[in-house]
Amino acid sequence: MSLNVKKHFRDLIYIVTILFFLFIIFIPAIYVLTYAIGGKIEISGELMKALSVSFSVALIVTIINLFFGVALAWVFVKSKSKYKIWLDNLIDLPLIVPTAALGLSVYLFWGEFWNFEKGLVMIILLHIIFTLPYMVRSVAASIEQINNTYNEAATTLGATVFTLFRTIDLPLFKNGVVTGAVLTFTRSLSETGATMMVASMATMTAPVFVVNLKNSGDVPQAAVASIILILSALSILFIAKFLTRKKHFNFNYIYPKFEQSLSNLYNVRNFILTLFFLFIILIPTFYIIFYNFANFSPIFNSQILESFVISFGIAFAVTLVGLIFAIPMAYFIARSKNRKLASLFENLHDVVLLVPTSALGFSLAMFWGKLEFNELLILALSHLCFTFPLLVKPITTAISNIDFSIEESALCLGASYQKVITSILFPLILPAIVAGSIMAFMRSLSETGATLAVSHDVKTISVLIVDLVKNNQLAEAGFLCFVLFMIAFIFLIVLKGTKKKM
Amino acid sequence: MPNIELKKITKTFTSINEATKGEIITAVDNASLKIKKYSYNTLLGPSGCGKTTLLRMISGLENPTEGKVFFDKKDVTNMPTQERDIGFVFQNYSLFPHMDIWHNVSYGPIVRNKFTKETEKYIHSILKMVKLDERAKAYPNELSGGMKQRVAVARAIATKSPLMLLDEPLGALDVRIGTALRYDLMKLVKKYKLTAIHVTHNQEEAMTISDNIIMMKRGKVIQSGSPKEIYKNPNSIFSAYFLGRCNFFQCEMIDKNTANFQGTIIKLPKNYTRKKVVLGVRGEKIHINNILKRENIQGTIEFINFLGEKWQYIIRLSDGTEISALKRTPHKAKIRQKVSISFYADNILIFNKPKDFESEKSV
Repeated sequence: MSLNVKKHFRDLIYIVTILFFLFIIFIPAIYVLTYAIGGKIEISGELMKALSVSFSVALIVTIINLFFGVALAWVFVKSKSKYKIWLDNLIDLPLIVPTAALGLSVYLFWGEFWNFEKGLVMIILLHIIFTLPYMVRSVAASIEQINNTYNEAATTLGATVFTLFRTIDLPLFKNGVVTGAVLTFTRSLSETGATMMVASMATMTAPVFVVNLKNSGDVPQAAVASIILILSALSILFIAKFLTRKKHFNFNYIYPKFEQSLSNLYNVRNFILTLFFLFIILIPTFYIIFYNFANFSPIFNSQILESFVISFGIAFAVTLVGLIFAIPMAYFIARSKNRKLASLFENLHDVVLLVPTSALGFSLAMFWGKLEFNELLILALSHLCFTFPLLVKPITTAISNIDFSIEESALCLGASYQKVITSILFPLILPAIVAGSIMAFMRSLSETGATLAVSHDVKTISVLIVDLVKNNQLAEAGFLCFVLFMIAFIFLIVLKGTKKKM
Repeated sequence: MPNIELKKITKTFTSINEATKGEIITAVDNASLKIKKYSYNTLLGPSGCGKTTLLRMISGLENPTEGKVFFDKKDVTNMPTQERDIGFVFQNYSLFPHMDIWHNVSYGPIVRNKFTKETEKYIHSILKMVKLDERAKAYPNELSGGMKQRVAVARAIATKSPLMLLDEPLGALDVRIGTALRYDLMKLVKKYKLTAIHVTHNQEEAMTISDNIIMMKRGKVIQSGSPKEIYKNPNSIFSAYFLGRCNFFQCEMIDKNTANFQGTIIKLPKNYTRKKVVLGVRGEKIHINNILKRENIQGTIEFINFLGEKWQYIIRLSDGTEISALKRTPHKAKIRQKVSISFYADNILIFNKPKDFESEKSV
């Protein structure tokens, strides 16, 4: 092939990928917005209430996470303790454990063990668990990027620990905090299945409300709720972009006594953080395992088996199909010379990632329902939709981190484009592909919001768990959660293994 | 403050490198030294010799594994960096990227809670000194390398600390700017009556700015003294080679004041009792003769390098020894020509023959 033909071939791959993204992922995800053009927008009192519950939960959870997440991340990065490796492993667990399992575990711990009432407090306790890792991870990642000599320079100039945190570190890792807060807020706004287990009738959240409306056939109200959820996710994205823009912070004052006294609070801080992590995060997460030791009831009927097959089949299929398009998409975003277009697509991925999944599911059902697609196919398409950005993100980061001169030197040595991709690029981004695949696979396995919004009869394993809990079959649900928990654990070990190689 | 004294300082690290994981590495090995008030000192040595680690232990950024650090006879070994009252200039300057020049420079007085109207004037005067008063509102990424370096120095001076520690402060600059800034640095230190400890691997830099040079090799302090002292009387093959590239002749002693270099008899300036000896002669002290004399050392000219103000002749002796002779005016000899070389007994430096000559010389 001549160089020209090769370039055309590459452009063709880009075009197919972009078309795939626009028509399979992006437009279906926000199709419901078109309803606002023709339909009447009316907000019922019930919807208002559900929205207010959702937003107040998301806000409270974000504030709590800001405090504990930033503190944990800072201690975590700065700590030289030998227990750090344990914390490192534990902190990701709620990211990968299916939220249905988490929800049941939290319900059993607070509800059954401590006899708490279902409701707002329990929703908040649940949401803190599965959002905290997002906060800790994104803050820790940006702290790690700060050149340590800034801290050393500030120390030699006389800054105490807290002054240093406020004047040097915080301004420099601010963007990580914003990212963490956005993810916390939108994930909290989006979670459906686990929330159903711990919410009372009075404290129904908006995504749960959408699913209920959809199932009772109240399409207009469900559409309105979805539109509001999508628009709020979008506005949060805009606010975040605005907040990350400011780069300059000059400090003229310090509060010597106050900051000195805070700097001396080492032990108190560590004690509070340990208590929080142990009793709010760790024990409620693992309670399901203890519960199973006490009430072990392994059951495998045809319905459970069918759910397992559907769940794993869909998860496997969407990860595979997603990968085929995610790699060229990531390459396009990381390497395209048209930076404006590339960053536009990056932002569009963020939109899909942040849209609450029940709204996304409802939107997809509207879009594909017109074409009278099979329910299972629509379900698979919806899973493809929310897992796709999870694949694209880490691969994009991995490609951006590879110095382009490495590819150029391979080209100069005489390697063809194909050879460069297979022998240079692919081996270098493989860890990111594995990491992204596991995240996508587990997300598909655990997702409930979009799944409930799309399907009536097809039940994934996570939806089945939610149903079992609704019918008070706690022992059976507990066993299924235990199985999912173990699968998550195995994947976590694989994930750690590939991270080490990166 | 500050007469500084280090007593038997040792620093060991556990290696985190994949290949040597877990091994104990000694970065600084039983180093002792004294620094006089108001003097400009350089820690000079090849990379990896432990000079930066030593500087970081003086600043408190690292703690010694063994030994003690004294500021004016006060033990500060366990004192946190914040309380040591020092100014530190980092190799890559470490200017806070989110603060403008003014706030970078005033950060020290502010966090030490010493910021007054007078400080403000003082900072203006420092910025004027380093010719950056007009760029006070600029951010670090808008400055050139030389400007950043000057801001880093100004920031350290603004703390009014009497001790200034500089970790390869000119290392990241291109040669021309770095050379010009040497003198600015020296002037500032003298003007503000500071005691400076400056880490460098550049012997020329060390010789031009120092009152006192501390030579280091493999974690050990080899020799310290004024540039002139060390150049004239190096106490080791390493000192002689690292400071001013000395030529060496490995000889055997015939009697107590004559040595034999491959059949050539060399008279020594003083008596020497061991059997084997290494003689050192500086390049500018070597004479080249076109006439081949039997009683002189002979060799072939391999390269002639024009260095601007002088000419360098690289001469290969028959045993493979490489000799560099420096001449202020060009010599008649041509490349590949056989010549003989000679030098005066007064210009000979005498060293004990080490077990492994090459490793002793090597940096």
